[in-house]
Amino acid sequence: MTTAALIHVLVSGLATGSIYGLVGLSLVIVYNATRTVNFAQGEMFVVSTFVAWSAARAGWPLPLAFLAAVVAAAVLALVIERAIIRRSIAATHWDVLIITLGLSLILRALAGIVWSHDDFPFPSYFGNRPIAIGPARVVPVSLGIIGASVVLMALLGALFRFTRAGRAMRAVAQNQTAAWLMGISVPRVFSAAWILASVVGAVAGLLIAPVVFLSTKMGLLVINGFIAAVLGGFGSMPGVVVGGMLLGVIENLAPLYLPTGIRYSVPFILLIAILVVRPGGLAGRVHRRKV
Amino acid sequence: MLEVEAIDVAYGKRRALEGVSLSVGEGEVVTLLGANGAGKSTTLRAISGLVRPGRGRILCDGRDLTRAPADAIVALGIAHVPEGRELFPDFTVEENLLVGAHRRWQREAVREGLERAHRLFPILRERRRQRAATLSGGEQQMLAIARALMARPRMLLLDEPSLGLAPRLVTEIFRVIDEIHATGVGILLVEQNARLALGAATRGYVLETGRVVAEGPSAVLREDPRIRQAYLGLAGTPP
Repeated sequence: MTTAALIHVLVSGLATGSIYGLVGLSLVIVYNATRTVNFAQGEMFVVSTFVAWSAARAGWPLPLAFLAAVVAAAVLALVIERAIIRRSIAATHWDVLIITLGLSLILRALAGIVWSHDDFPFPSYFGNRPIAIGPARVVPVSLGIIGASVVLMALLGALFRFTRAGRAMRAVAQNQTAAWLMGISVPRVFSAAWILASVVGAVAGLLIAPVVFLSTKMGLLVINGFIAAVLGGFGSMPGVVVGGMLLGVIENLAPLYLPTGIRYSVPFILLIAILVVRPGGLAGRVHRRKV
Repeated sequence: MLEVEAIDVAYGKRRALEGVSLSVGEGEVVTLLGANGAGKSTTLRAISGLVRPGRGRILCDGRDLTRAPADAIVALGIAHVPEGRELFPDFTVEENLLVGAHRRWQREAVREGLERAHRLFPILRERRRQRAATLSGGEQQMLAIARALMARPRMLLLDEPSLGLAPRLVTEIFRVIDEIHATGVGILLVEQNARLALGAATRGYVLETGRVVAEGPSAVLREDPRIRQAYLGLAGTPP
């Protein structure tokens, strides 16, 4: 393979990988706070991305349409968390998992009713003129996705590390009882985690929509985000980002060496491989359960 | 300052407390004695809002906090150092202290709190960049107490602070309890070491299977034949 082709594959792999990383992060943010996996995350960003699309079609300038999507994502998360998830506080994590799975189906159906299940082109905003990186020419959208994701990830890192709210979230993740005793309102942290995760998901949706066409099927990205999170050791934030990037690159690299049809199995092969070889993920610690 | 009025607490069908009443005055040190499972920890958990009494009331300066969420109770000035310390294992020592000051907004106050914690437990300054999980048992207990003090409470609920510690460290912890008391903070002390507890406290309560069976000034409790036998390991009658 030529260097140019390799650079090309790497860049597009990192771009999709960034999206997986962001979706994985949104899953991990909710998981760390509440110990449940929100499988409706994918459909939640489908809805918010459609909101941006509708706003743009109604003639709103693109930045304003994006803002509308982010606000819609936050509101949707708040409503779901307050109205449904918080009421099932006594349920087991498995029950909540099924609830979020059900929610994803409901949201997808609702999105289908409002916007139909067709594919829509989403306005692209990164320009079309290829940019030269060494011998390769890369489409700007890939670099834009990588750049925007890295910025958002850095912001999240700073939020969790340096702010009072971020510290409260990390405290709740480690020990809920102790968090209460420090004067942290645990339910408020749950809401905050849902809102933050939903906003991160919304950004992922807005970044990927111009590349893949906007449709209700876009919610399936949550599966790759989930795999990115498992690769990273479900809970570690840097781990998810690395897991996502790795998944994106391998997914783009594999068809070059293996039969092309392998592409859509790559995430699952990786998932099984990591669970067999290193069940705690790349960055995680293993908590073995006796059987 | 703190008034517990005839509270019942049940875990499912099991009744843990029945009609427990006690009070702690402003700046007073009071101890709660009793065997394992008598309901001492449950009493503290009810006061700090971790469990809800089925009946009875808990008042702080006359304000009813029986149904208040735990975070609001901290804001009222009651801090709880729970059994088993309950530190944040992945946080550094300093992060544990900072999260203890969650309800305090002024940067200056937080910095003063840190300095006070370091004065009280100099070892915590040395270890400030270390993860809490890597501390020894004694250091963890010190951190748990220092973390609770970061909220600048008027009342401290201490659950078995000497549990599992070497005698030298137990002495150290009790020295600090005296120091905290000297700054005017009230203390409700649950302690298995009845001799030390009665030494530190002016009054005490004795719990048995969820009920208060004895109460009074420490000096009186110390002479009570039943308490001498059950909790002090001495012959029934004082010499």
